[in-house]
Amino acid sequence: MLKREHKVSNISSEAIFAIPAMKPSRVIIAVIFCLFLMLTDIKYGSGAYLRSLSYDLIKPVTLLTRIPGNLMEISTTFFSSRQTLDEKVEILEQENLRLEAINKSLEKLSIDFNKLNSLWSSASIDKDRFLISKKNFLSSNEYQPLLVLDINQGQNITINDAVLSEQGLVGRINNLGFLSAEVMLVQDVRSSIPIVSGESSLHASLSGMGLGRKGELKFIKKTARFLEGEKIYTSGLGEVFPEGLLVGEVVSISDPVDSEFLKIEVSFSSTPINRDYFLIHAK
Amino acid sequence: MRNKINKNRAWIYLSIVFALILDVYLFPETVMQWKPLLVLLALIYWNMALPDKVGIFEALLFGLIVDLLNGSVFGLHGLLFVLITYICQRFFYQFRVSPLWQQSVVLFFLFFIFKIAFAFDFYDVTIGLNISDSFYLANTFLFALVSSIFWTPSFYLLRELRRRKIKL
Repeated sequence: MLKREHKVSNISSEAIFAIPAMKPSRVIIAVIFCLFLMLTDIKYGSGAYLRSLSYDLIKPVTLLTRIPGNLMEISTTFFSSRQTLDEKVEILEQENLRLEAINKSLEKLSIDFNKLNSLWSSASIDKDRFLISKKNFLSSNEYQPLLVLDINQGQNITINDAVLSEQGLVGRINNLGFLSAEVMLVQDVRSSIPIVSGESSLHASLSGMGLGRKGELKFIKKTARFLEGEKIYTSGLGEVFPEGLLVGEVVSISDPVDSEFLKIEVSFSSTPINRDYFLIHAK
Repeated sequence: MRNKINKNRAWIYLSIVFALILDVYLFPETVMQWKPLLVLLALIYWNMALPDKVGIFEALLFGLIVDLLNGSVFGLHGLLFVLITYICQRFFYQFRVSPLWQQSVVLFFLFFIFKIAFAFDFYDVTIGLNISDSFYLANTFLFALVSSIFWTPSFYLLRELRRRKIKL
């Protein structure tokens, strides 16, 4: 036993486990160090550089955590009878047929839209620019939630690329590592997106208010005529997000007496919760 | 002797790293706003059980790792972990002899204050974002409650690990 772990009584020769608490001077040094780190992060964004590296470092851990799930899947498949597998194949075939039917109707819709010229400049959307990416994890930070995606080296992804799901805009790439990309979500309090409303065609800036909360349109004059229920799309101003991506829907408009602006709440159409795959729109 | 100390330290670190992995991957995302912070529970346990082996360095190290994984202001978790560790070590004689339910009550208040610290907007981007947000307060209450409930199983699990693997 180490000498510092206990003292020995001079009278009875028994061990006295009187362990002194940590020295306050050390605590003060640690606190000052943490405050210094916080200040450098707030002023210069030092944490962002370290974060992108740390995601690459924990990548093996992610792979390890996926092993039990994969093993379960393999063992279930291995031990399931031929009949069960046949049933599964049948279900998948039906699903496939359904998807093909949906695809065909979507193709038809898209042709109709093109004809009517009502679809937002679909010609400007290059399908090859969309890259599929798997979610690594979503942080539990309420006001500044971070989504971390797995990427491959050689993919032409840059900071500020838009991240989408089939429901609409999810966020933008905030940080890039070698094998991972950090996404600033639209719900993040630091996020501000230039938008245009679908029906009234008004421009505004949409700010996030935290995960699970509605976003807010900022600094809208009381004379503006937004409509409840109208869809909100990216306007393309600022050249960060492509034009015409669905962001959400206006859910409430109120006129606070103590403010010179309207309070307009927007429900986001897309959430990263319980979703595994995302699309990155590379510039 | 040196080998034994290293082994003990390895088991302690392994348990905290395991808690960290569970924090990130175990809980479903629908409960992410109030899921317990297992890494802090593990740190508190080791501070209470072996205060001479786990101290400021571990609190700071794992606090900064949580900061990196969580995307919070770099150093905030580190700062809070150090303060909580100090409180635990300062009062560990009183804390470790009290019944588990009393420990849970104390931890409830500690976790409540811990979570409140994250309501402050350090980047100063959102006017009016503060602790008066009732949704945030409800989540903070749930977080503290769930964490204090998780204290009992964490305590027994880590005590079992200590008895089996940590040789003094």
